[in-house]
Amino acid sequence: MLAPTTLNMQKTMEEAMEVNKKIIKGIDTLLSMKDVEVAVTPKELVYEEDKMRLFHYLPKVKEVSAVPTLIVYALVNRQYMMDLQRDRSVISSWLDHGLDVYIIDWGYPDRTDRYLTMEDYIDGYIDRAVDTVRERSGQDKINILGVCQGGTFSTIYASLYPEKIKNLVTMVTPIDFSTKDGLLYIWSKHLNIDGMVDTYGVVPGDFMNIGFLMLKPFALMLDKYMGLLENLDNPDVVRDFLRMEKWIFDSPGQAGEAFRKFIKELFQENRLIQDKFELGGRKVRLKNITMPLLNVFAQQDHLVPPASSIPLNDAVGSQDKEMISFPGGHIGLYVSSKAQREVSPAVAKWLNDRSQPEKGKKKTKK
Amino acid sequence: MSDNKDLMTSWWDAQQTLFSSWSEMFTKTQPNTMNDIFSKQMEMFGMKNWGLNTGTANFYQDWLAKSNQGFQEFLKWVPNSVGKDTMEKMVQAGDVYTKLYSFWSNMAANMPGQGEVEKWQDFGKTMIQNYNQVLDGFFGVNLPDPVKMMMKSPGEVCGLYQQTCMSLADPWLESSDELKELFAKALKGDRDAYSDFMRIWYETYAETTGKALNMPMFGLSRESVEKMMKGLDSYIKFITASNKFSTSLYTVGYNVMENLMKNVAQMAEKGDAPESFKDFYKMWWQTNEQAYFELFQSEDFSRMMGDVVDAWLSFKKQNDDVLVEIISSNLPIPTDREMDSLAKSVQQLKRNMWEQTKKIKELQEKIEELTAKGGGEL
Repeated sequence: MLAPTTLNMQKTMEEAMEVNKKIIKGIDTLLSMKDVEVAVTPKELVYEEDKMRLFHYLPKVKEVSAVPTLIVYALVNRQYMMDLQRDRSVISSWLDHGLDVYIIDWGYPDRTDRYLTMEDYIDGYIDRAVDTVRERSGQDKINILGVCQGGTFSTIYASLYPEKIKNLVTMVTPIDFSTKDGLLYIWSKHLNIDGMVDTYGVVPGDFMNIGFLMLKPFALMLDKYMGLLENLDNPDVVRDFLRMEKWIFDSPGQAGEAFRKFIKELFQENRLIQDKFELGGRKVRLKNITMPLLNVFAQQDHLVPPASSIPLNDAVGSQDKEMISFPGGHIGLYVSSKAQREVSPAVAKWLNDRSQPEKGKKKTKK
Repeated sequence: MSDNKDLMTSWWDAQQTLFSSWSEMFTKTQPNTMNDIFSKQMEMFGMKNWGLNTGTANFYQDWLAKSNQGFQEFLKWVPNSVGKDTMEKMVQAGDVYTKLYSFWSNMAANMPGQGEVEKWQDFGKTMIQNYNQVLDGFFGVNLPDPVKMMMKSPGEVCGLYQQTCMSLADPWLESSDELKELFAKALKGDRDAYSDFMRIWYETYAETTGKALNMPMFGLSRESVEKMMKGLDSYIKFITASNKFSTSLYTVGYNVMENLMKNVAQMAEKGDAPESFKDFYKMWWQTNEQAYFELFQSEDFSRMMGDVVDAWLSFKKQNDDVLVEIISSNLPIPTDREMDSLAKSVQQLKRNMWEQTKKIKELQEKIEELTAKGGGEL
């Protein structure tokens, strides 16, 4: 038999009335709002191939780093999370610190992309993007900064093409998939990826969304919106919320063959950290990575737990290698004000310190 | 017994068979060997003193059987002749008579009492089976072989049909009581009963209707019909898997709520209970989040989720097959399968193109290198 609660009815009623008022004001706020703007930092399209587009951010300072930095974002979300809003943009922060930033926009794969492989992404799109940046900057080697799955791709690329990479930065990047600290790592072991790819061709973004929501169902499907109710009468807060909301559910489909290999050989068989992973018939050896490495991870990351990111530093052959541990979550690393103050300047400084051009190489800005 | 015997040996064997039946008769007609069940059954139906004393009834049956057997053995050495044929037919008739008698006396001995409904159902089933054997013998007697076959076949077909129908219906009949009981409990909120109900229902379905839905079809529209049947089967499998999945989620939710209310009551006793609904809500969602996190971490849940996804994928694939069938045969638009074939070729062509571009670039660089080393113009 359930025991009765001892709620203070007056307090409860006051709360309810307060929420009602906020809802009414909030409706007014929502009705007056147009679509939210994201990715406002100015950039120019410098290369495109199929659905992939390579953008170059317009520098904000006069003294720009000689060695450009190419950001390789994950396939599972959209890259504009790094430039979500004016005051919460790591891109903008890096530009302020003099980095010369390029970013790959993977676009939205459709059915015609179902046969894109990991080789197409890494040996194809990323390699040609790197070559484009090298040509534009006049540098033989550039910096590569990988985010999440993009970090895994960047790591594989750096292992296969070390001659093109000056510095490697990985942020919340999964490398060792044997950990059971994250639910995705547990669930993926029982995922019939072959069935999924053979049935869908391009695995729908909604599928990914459902998976992400299930990681914290109450926080992400309920409490988040209750929190919004508290601030529904504040247009700025609502706008910030809507930007994040737009990004969270803006999940592209996953090209089947690439997704199959990623889940099977990395998540399920954990080949990368064991030096058993092959790409295009070549073995990917992490010891081939000898350039400086900065490995950034988030301590409360429920998507990519630290145990998945940390092993990279021991696996590479680099002498100059560092780790930055951020006390926050997977997304917080980019959008929280603390990360804006601490992480992005640290990353910028690390890169700037190691981005002296090679002797004889002049930077020819295009 | 071997067929290679002389007249005397065969005759002797026949006599032995008869003597053994006589000796059994004497044993059974001894006092204190009354067939109590038989006589009680007779009494219940007011059938006293039918002239069938307990031991005598069994003796008669045995004597009939043994006599017949003896004659059959005897006939083996008799030369083929009209006399032999006639005697064989007489023996066959005797065999039918024996079977009928055996059937009747068995029926009388095992007849259930008034009000024993279930026993009557089993009794009827057994009697039909036994009577079929009698009829089989009857239709085999004194008729030419083609006619015998013609008369027996419908009976066999009927029996097979009945057997097949029962094989589809039997599992449902067997599990119906349990299903009814579990369903009643589930309606009252027993979650375990609901899970068991779904599990037994699905197992029974898989044994019966599920097999029928996966049967190969025949005819012009064989493929379409097969796809639709398999689609229906996959839908049922998906519903079952997702029901199991949902039940596990609901179970955790209910358990959390029960424990939460107990905790709140304990906190209230200490004067620590949440004062406002907001505080209670915070406690509620955080407790649920933790409970579900523990559930989600388990291998069992992970496996169950994998099963649901598998079942969904299977259903989607079957459904897509049916849709593709409809589209390709009725609408002038390409299907995704056709586009996939094109996409694969295009992707391969792109790869080839980029490979060639890379090689050309490498060659150009080599040429430039050679030219720069003083090779002059090539």
